Formats: sequence, structure tokens, C-alpha cells
Amino acid sequence: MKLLKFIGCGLLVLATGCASAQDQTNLAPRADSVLRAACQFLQQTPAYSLNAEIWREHVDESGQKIQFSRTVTMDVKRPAGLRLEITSPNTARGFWYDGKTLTVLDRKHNFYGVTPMPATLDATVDTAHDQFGMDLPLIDLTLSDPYQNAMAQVTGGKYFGIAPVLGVLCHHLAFTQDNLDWQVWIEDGPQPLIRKFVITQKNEPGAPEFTALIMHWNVSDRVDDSDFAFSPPKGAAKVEMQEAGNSK
Amino acid sequence: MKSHFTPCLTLSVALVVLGAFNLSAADWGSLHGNNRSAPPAYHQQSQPSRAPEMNGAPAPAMRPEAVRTPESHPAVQPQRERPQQDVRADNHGAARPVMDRTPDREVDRRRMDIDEDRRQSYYWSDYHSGMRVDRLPDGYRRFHIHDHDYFYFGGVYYDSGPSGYEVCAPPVDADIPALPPGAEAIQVGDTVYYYAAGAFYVQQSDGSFIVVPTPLGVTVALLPPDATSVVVNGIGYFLADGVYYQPVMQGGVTAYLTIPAP
Repeated sequence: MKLLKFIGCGLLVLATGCASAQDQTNLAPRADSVLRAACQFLQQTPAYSLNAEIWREHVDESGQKIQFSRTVTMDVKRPAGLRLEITSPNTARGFWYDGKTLTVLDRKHNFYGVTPMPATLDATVDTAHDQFGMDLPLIDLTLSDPYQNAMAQVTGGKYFGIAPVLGVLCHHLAFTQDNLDWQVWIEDGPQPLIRKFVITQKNEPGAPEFTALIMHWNVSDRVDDSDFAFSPPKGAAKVEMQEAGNSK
Repeated sequence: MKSHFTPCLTLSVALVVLGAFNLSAADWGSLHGNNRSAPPAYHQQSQPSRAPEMNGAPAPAMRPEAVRTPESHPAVQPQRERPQQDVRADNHGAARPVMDRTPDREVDRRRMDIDEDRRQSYYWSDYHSGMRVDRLPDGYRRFHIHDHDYFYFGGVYYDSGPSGYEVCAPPVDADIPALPPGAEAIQVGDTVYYYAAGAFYVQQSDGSFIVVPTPLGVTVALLPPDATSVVVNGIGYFLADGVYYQPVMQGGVTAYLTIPAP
């Protein structure tokens, strides 16, 4: 009986080992190491700002893909500060998180909503998503462990060499997971900054994509705490922050 | 007398649409959101909420007796005679419904800030009640409802005037074979509403869609084209076709909740 248990345990260990080996086979070491370096750099940067342009594809009823673009500015101070501005000629929204509350301001209509939030960015990002159904672009960059977040469901990754993004030479990586494919372009240099990001919703009709081009990073200037404090514009009306129906 | 609607049908439609929806993934601009997300049902509605407050001033409580749920504000009248309609393909163009679409596609979309962009591509976004046109667009549909002639195209309803046609509010009981572009599915209890251009529709047993009275306690992404800003007791609302809309934040964007007259 003991012998059978021993053999059983051995087979289990062997099977686990095989699974790991398979995972390693699907994930190119260079893709993993470049992404890990970028995530570590981001993780160890206590505060930063960035400017980006994002495109979200919508597939209409005829199957035609339409891209809608926004400009995003983001200020982050770990572990509990976030400022986000999402703008276009049609819309302008601001987000403030100061470790206690999250405020959303619709600048176009001059409405704002405020709701209590947990004390960390990680927990706040979860709450904003789960409880309020918020789709916050580039929020992956704000998490305390961006590598773990990125690789959580990855089943394979490839390295495609160096490619330019807005004139900056970058490592081009592509990852796949069951629900998504995604690509990232990471600056080749002492500061491995993420310069471009594409998420492909491969299981959606028409496989729409989300694209972000990060045009400017600032990882050296100090981000002041006052940046995360919200002050209502003149005439702004406070409205209720509705929870998402049954979205989760 | 023909019944165009039964509760069983409503439930069936809801289940069918929900079933289609649950097969789809979410649409999020982050890995975190995608990985965390189970697809939500379409904008399932909650109860009416508080009115907005002006810059820190507390909002007065809504009078409980004034709050009507969609269930108590019947959106569909069963056992009703279908209004007379004329869809002949005569000299006003094809009778085939234009802008045909499947409703469940719109269900599969989270509330995002692209609605303002998308609405600009819809025919109805350029029209509001009171506008006059000399001629109707090709492919229009004619209704005879409540002893009155109406005309329809792409989510816009017209009334005949002394000289030409005038855009009017969507007449309750108007029946169209396909939803207007941009229709947003909203489930309230067992009822699935479709909202576009200020009109709420419910699907009938024959697959067509009928205009129903605006249900209360429902949140929509866009105001009706006719909506005007009003202030009641120092609080801002929007008013369209006799219905008040209260702004709220939903999913990080402004949405509008239908409420009783404040």
C-alpha cells in the first residue's frame, strides 16, 4: 500500500513537472524576462505621470469596426493616489482617488459622483470594477504587482524583436490567454517603459481591439498629494454613483 | 382580438437574450478588467435613487409614495388590438424595414463613454420634436394609431402638418419590425426594454417591436433628443415628453434615471 502511495505521489510530481515544462515551452524566455523587467521598473517607481492616446474598437451590427479615441493623462502615487483624465471633443471625464474616496467628474455635463473606496489602489481598482462597473483604461499600470496581474492568465508568450513606437525603439512582445491576445511594446533602454499596448478580444464578434500609445512618461518629478484631492468646479452638481446592475 | 404579448414571452425573450449575452466576453480596456470580468447582464435596473444635489447641498428625499416601479407603470398592454399600419411599398420607397439589426448585439456592451460618439452616426440624432421636413425619407413606414396617421424612419416619428411633416414624440403603440440603430437593451424584472432615440420598445410575439410608455426607475445612457434641462426646487433634471430624467453616474459615465415628476 505504501508503495502504491509512493508511486502515486511520484506520478503527481511528474505530471506537475510536465505541466510546468509545457508552460515554459509556450512562454519564450525573452518575452518573459523583458516583461518582468518592465513590470519591476514600474513596480519600483513610487510615483509617475503619463500621457497616452487610446483607441477602443466597436463592432457595429454590420460587422464594421469603428475606432473611438481618447486622450488619457494619468498620475499615480503608490499605494493610494490616482488621477485620471479621459478626454475627446465629445467627452471629458476626470477621476480622483486619494486613498479614501473615488470621485468621477463628467466635465461636459458638470456632474460628479463620489463614493468611499478602500485604502489601496489595488483594492480600489477591484471595487471600481466589481461594484461600479468602471472600465478604467491603463489601470494595469497602477497595480502593486503589474507582472502578476499581466501573467495571471497567460498561456503563451513570444518575442518579436525590436520595433519602433513613436520613434522609440521597443521590444515587441505578444501574449495569449484563453479570453484575450495582447501585445506590448517596451522601451529598449535603461528605463524599460511600456510604450504601446494592444488587447484583442479574440472571442468577441469581430475581435475588437483596445490600443494604447503612451506618448510621454514622467517618472522623475514629484507627484503632489494635492493632485489627488477633488474640488468641484463651479456649478457642478453632485449625483449619485450607481452601482453596476449585476455586472461582476 | 389578438394578444401581442404575454409574460411568458417576455421571460423567454429575456432568457434568450441573456443566454446570448453570457456567451460573450466583456469589453474592457485593461487586462485586469478582462480577467476579472464575468460578462454582466445588460443594464439590469435598480430602483429609483436620490435626486442630484447641487455642489454639496443635500438632496431632498424622494417621496416614497411618488415612486412607481416599472411593474406598476405597465409598459405593455396585453390583449390589445394592433394598430392599423400601412407598409405598402408604394411611391415612398421600400416597405422593408430599414436599419435591420439584431437586438442582442447592443446588449453585449458595457456602459462606456463612447455613446456620445456613436450617436452621431445614427439618423435619429439629428432630429427632435417640432422639426419640420418637406418630404419623408425613402423607405418610411406609415402607421395609423389612435385615429391618427404617423410616419416613421430610422427611429424618428413624424406627424403630418399643414405644409410637410413635423417630427413628434414616439407614439405609444407604434409597431416597427426592427429596432432603430443604437437600441440599448434594458431588463427590468422580467421585461426586456429596448431604448433608442427617446423611445422604449418591447418585443412582440411576432418579433416586431412596439413603443411602450416610458418605464420609471430605468437608467439610460443617452437622453431623448427632445430633452430639455429643467430645475425643480433647485435641483436640475431633464424633461422629455413629460418624463423626468435624473442624472446619475453609472460605470463612471453619466447616465439618466427615469423618475416620477419631482
